[in-house]
Amino acid sequence: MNNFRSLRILDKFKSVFQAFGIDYSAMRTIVGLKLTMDERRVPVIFSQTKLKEGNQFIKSLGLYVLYGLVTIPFLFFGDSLMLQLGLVYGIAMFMIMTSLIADFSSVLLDVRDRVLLAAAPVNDRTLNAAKLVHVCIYMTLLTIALLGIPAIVMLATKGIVFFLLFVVMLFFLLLLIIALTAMTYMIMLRVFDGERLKDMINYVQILLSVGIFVGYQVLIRSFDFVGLSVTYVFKWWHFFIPPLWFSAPFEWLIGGNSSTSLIVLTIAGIVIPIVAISVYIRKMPLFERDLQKLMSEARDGKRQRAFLMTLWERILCRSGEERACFRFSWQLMKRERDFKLKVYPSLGIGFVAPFLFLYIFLEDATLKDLAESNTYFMIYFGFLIISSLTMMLNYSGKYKGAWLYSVTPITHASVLKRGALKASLAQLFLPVYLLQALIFGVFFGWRIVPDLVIILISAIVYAVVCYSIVSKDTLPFSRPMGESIQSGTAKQFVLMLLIGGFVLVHIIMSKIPYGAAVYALVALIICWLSWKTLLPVKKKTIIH
Amino acid sequence: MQTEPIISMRNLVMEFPGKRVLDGISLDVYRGQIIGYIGPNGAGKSTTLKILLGLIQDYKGTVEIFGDDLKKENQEVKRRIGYVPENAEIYDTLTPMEYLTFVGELYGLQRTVVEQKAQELLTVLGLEDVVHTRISSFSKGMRQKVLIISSLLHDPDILFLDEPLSGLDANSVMVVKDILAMLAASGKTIFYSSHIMDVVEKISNRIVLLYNGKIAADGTFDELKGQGELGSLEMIFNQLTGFDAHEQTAKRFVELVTGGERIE
Repeated sequence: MNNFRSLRILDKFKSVFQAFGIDYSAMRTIVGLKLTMDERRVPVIFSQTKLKEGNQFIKSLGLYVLYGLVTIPFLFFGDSLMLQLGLVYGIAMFMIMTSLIADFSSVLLDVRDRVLLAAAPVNDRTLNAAKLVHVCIYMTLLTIALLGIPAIVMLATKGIVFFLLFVVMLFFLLLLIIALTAMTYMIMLRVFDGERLKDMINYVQILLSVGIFVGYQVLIRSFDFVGLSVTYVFKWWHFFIPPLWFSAPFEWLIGGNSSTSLIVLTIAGIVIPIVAISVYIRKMPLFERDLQKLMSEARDGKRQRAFLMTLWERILCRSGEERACFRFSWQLMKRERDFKLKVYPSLGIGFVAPFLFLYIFLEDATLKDLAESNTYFMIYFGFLIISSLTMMLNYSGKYKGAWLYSVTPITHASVLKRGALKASLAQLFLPVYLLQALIFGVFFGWRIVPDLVIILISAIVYAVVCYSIVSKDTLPFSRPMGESIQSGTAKQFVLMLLIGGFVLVHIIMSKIPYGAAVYALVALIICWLSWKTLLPVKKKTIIH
Repeated sequence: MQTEPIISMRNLVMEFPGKRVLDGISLDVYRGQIIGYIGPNGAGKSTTLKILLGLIQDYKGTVEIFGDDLKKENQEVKRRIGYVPENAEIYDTLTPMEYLTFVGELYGLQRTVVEQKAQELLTVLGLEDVVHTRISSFSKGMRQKVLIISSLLHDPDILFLDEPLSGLDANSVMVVKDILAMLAASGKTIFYSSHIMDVVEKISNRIVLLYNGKIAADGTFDELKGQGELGSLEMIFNQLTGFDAHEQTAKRFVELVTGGERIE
């Protein structure tokens, strides 16, 4: 386990680590152990099936290579180096940071290190260095996968100077990303404690993922695609868009535009990451100490009441079992952080997406045009929430608790599934949809109300279709969370296409006189039939 | 005094790829018995429990509970069974109250009834302060108490317990031991597996020893003692499983720890 290529490269810098007072051989052993564990990170389910060979993370890098290819066109289309590279760095920052947040917060926030390793004679400095090296190894791999090919393209077409500048600025970008992520956690650790803290970190993770998505959109918008060929004009708020710090030296040194603002941006791109990372390194012991809070027990003995969900439970569920599962599901969804981390970002994106497209429409139209158009069909983009939501209903961080289902006298598996699906829709989809519908109502007026009702019914049909496909032979919350990443990308894609089908039928029906009324009725019948056939309660379908 | 067996296994065989875990087990269990099911690691104790619970179904042989063949998958049987699994796997983001309510409802109890019963049972076992605290912050013993309550909420006739006392402190162990004895006295059947011989010795009124997939001994503690003429269940266990090298093993271990110094 001590023969990883990355470790052998690390050996070359042995003296550097030792200069910082780090016990190099101890650090190497720790990092080697972590890498070995990562290779086995995919949970093996129940049975003693053969361990999957190889590092699952490394295998997933293939996908990042694909994402990286997207950046190549930006290198060639346009006359403004500032904007082109701003986009490339923006994409890189988005991809790397989301990956860091989604996959590596567990590394940054690992408290087991404290218990298991601190008992051995390893000093804190070495422990922290090991943690940092571990994260850096992965970030390097990720970055190479993402930007390796684009960098070679640069070397071949733009020359060695361009290439080197790119690599140097990329290095500073990576420093900034590590420091930014770690410092966010650090501040969180200072302010909160215990369970509340874990919740807060969870929300920050979610917020960051959504924020990065939205920020990315703003980045593209602000450049106004056509405007890529226009000369770059500095505006004061560009100072707050980090990717531009890193693209500024290109405009300055290679583009030959030596305005003060560009120089200031360049300096920011070098100084801020260095300052940030050195602050992080200095504060690291503090960080580690605060990590202790994650282990502390909290005893908040208050019973939580939820009138709204209790009301929904009364309205939506018929049998006692279904009610039990409804309540169980929403309590789990509310608490389980892994679940929230996977689902809430898609809630945010599903919420924002329709408005984003309205915004694009508004760029060459007035509000009045908008109100008269049929762009309200954009609200269908909110359905994106449903496919990922229903998928995640299968998973739980505590999936082993699912022995309960086989021990208890459950009459039908579908009853549980119904309860879980209804709970997820009522708790997560409905609030988002209602808010969207309200805002759309303000934009488009009363005339779209019938359509909004139809769309809601369609959503319920869509949900049951999605769920019955992804939950075949699986009870709610009974699969390990880690599995969710690998399975179902193809399924997800097909389900997404299905949304198009709903839109198409709706548009056609809306062209026919009285079509909306007829369609509403038909949709309602389909809705009833789909629940009846896809999650049947009559037939015996117990899964063990 | 014994009439119809509550649990009846005939030639129970269970094979995992490359390994025969249970090799023809036949056993009748009667009302009011506390069966201590013991055996070395990997002897098939948990597998037997899982088969009895319907968690594993591709076994050979017949298993009947209340005279019902398990292969018929009669869900009603489950209503009369309680189970405490090994390792305390539980949806621990819930509070004990939420979890117990859910379990109770799956057993078909009214929510208000379960809530009250859970509250009272939690209070009796000293968990009244943490009724609405997430289970994830609990110690192993506290989790174990929650699981024990969850297995008894619906007042089952048979109780399957897999290492029920693990993590409990000395006082709680005494309480649970008494609970089990009283439940058995009231006519319930308890089938439980454990590694802790002292406890098995004290609370079981019948001990079944599993070794290499077969029943190596079956009887009361006194009967087992009569066979082996040895003092404690631990020693009987060692004898029946052909293990008499504990002293040598321990000695060798300590020698290795201390770097080869021989101890006498």
